[in-house]
Amino acid sequence: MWKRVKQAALFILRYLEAALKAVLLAGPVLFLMVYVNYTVDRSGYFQGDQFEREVAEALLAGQDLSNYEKMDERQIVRLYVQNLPSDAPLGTVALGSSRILQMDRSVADADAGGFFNAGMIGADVRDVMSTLYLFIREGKAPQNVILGIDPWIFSPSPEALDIRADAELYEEFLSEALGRQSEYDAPDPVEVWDVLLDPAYFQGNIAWASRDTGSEEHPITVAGAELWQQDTEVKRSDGSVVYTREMRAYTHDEVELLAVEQGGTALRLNDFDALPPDKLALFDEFIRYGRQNGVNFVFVLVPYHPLAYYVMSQTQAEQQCYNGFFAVEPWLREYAAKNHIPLYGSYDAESLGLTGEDFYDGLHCKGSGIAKFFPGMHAVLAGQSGTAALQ
Amino acid sequence: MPFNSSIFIGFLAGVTAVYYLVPRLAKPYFLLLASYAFYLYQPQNARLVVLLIAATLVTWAAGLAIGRLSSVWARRGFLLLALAACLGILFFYKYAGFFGGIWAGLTGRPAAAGPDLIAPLGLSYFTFQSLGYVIDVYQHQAEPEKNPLTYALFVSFFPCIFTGPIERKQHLLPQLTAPRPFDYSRAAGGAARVLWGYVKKMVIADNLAVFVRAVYQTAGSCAGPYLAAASLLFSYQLYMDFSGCCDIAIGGAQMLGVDLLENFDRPFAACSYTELWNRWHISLTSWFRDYIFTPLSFYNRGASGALGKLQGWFNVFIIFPISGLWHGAGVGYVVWGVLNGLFLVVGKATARWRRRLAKRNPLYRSKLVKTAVQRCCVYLLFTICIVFFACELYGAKPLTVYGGMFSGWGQAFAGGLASLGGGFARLGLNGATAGMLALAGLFVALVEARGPVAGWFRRQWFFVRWPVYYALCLLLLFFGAFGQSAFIYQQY
Repeated sequence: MWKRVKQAALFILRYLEAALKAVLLAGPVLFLMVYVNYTVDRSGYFQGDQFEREVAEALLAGQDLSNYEKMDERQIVRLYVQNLPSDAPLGTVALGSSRILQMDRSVADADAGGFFNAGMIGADVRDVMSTLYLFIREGKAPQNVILGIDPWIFSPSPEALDIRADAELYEEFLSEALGRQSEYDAPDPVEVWDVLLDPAYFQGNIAWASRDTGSEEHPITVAGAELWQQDTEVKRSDGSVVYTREMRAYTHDEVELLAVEQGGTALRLNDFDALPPDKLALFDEFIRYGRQNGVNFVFVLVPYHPLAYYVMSQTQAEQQCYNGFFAVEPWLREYAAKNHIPLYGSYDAESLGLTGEDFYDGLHCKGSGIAKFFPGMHAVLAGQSGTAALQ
Repeated sequence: MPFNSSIFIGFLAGVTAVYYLVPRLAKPYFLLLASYAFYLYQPQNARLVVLLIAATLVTWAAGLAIGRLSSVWARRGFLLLALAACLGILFFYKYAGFFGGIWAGLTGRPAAAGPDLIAPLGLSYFTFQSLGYVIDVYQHQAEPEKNPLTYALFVSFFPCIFTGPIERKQHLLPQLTAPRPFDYSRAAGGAARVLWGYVKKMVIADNLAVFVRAVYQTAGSCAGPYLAAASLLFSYQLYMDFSGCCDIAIGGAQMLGVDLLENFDRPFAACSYTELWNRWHISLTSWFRDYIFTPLSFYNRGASGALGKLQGWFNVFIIFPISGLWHGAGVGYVVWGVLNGLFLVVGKATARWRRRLAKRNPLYRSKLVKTAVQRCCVYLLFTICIVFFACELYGAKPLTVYGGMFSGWGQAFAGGLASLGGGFARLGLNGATAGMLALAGLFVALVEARGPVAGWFRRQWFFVRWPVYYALCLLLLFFGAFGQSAFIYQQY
């Protein structure tokens, strides 16, 4: 009996010794592989694409950047949000398209470090909604959201959608945040995390990390007065954009020409003949979702150039088009009043007292122009009525 | 389940861990379950598992009947039944299209459109293994196995079902039915051998395969030096690939307390072509020796003189075309076999004459030089044959390869060595890879020259052994070619 017990104990000891040694042998090798795969992450499974990662990290470090045109703005915002310290969420975030990107920290008048403009060039309804969802999903919901509402987010036309939008994230938002039916398939986490234990990916990462980076393109840090001397656009650390020197130097006539042209083509507003109830309901759900997560909304309607607005109103009168566009603002005002949401601005620049001098082109109002009707977050939070600002 | 996949490593570790915890009597049945799980993992096998079961049942029943019957004719009848069943399956799935094409060519009729058959992996191995068992029982070399489940385990034992070694009943079955208790040293040695096999396959063979494949797939436009180098390197690649696979199989079985037959014994250290074939794919060569060569020699035993010699040579020769066909249904494999057979027969026929000449060769006074020259000759002869093999694998035409091998040398060297090196680099063999391969190959050769690998590892001092383990793991991690190719011999 005693002999059997001894034999069993010996077996267990040897068995455990073998298991321990196997772990000791494989453990460090696997750790090295996982560490390299996670940190170098050549294909951006965990850290995002290399270029976008550099941009997001630089923005978080407070740097202004040029040479970033090739970047994926959606991914930069995603990486920015992911890497944002979770213990210090932003006070104010601006959402919208390039038409809100001129709102910088000084125009927003938010606390230093507490503002980020997450607007994106060409943002459509999916970008706007999924970006707020991203903040909330990551547990970094901002206290205030300046929602730069472009009229096309209510348009049912496929033309109102942008090919660059993160459709997958939007489907996730519809499914996970609003509980709607969507084409969203929850990703299999094992599939992604498998990559950590992929030796071929490890080798790719080693080759990537040891490559000669001299000839590669990187975002360029812009400091001080250089900011205004750039021939390319500059992404500022608060997310806003400084246009190229050339664009900022357009003459009055050039801007008016662009305004007339843009009024005629009316970006993303063709076939927008009426306000679709489903889009209004979705917008309402989005606002309620944000509020349930503690977000205070401030609506901002960035005006169109007076000439562009005039061309569109004339076209509407003559051809009975753009009816949807002209219905957006009244509906929003009513909605904001009913839900006690401050609203600033108007698509009609003249009603705000703005002139052609306040615009870069037909669509993009200068920061100084925005400042004429938006009092800044301090004033908003102090309770100044948006409607009052309009008067 | 391919050996070079992470799922197999997890499977092997899991089976080993559970195997030693299972009660002794249940161990063979647990291994049988594991073996079938391993086999069924491959979708093409799952559909054709009935072939494995059929070959197992027919040969088991035939073995049992042969063992119990005393009538010679009845015993022969059951032997023929087993032969017909196993060879029929093999022929139908592997050779029907090939021979159908030949028949159509000979008769001038269009080849009959048959079903597009995909042979299950390991078909050649498990049919030969079970056939060997029936023949052994018939020749009173082995007792028939009464338990169909343990016999099924013998046929399907997972480390050797896809790529061998082709086992014998007397060697494998007693180890499976009387499992050894857990022995740390044996299991650790087995694991080290598995690691060794992965290094040979994934670091050396697969990195060489990149170059060889690139050259053979563009054979028509490659200059002589590249074709010659690729052909010479393919011999080594094939050795590393197959022996690495066998190391994994033997090491994996050793982890479970089972010793499989050795399949390689440093074949390129052979000083004659006969010796090479005694060291290469030993389990298949000995299968042919025991079940084809020996019976043929027995039936031809009466002849003497020139006829006796001719018959002896024929017996040696015929094994190789059959071996070529075993490898694959292709003309290239048959030519490979014919050439090997011819080299062996010519070697035997001229042995005495060459020995006399060697005595007068001044270079042969140095044993080192003599061995080196002999090994080089054997390697060259092997490579001459293996070109046909490589052509079948990579879809090249042997005539193009041989024609190209002797042209373009001046052009390739016109730009100097740097230009030639650039050409190699473009085809996937740059200086760094070549250096790494040379060092890894040297290390493998040095270790294997000291005897069985598992034993060598276990003999080393702890402070040598563990750094070597880590070095091998890192070598695999940094230089292993992952997810690139299956084992060459897995397809036969």
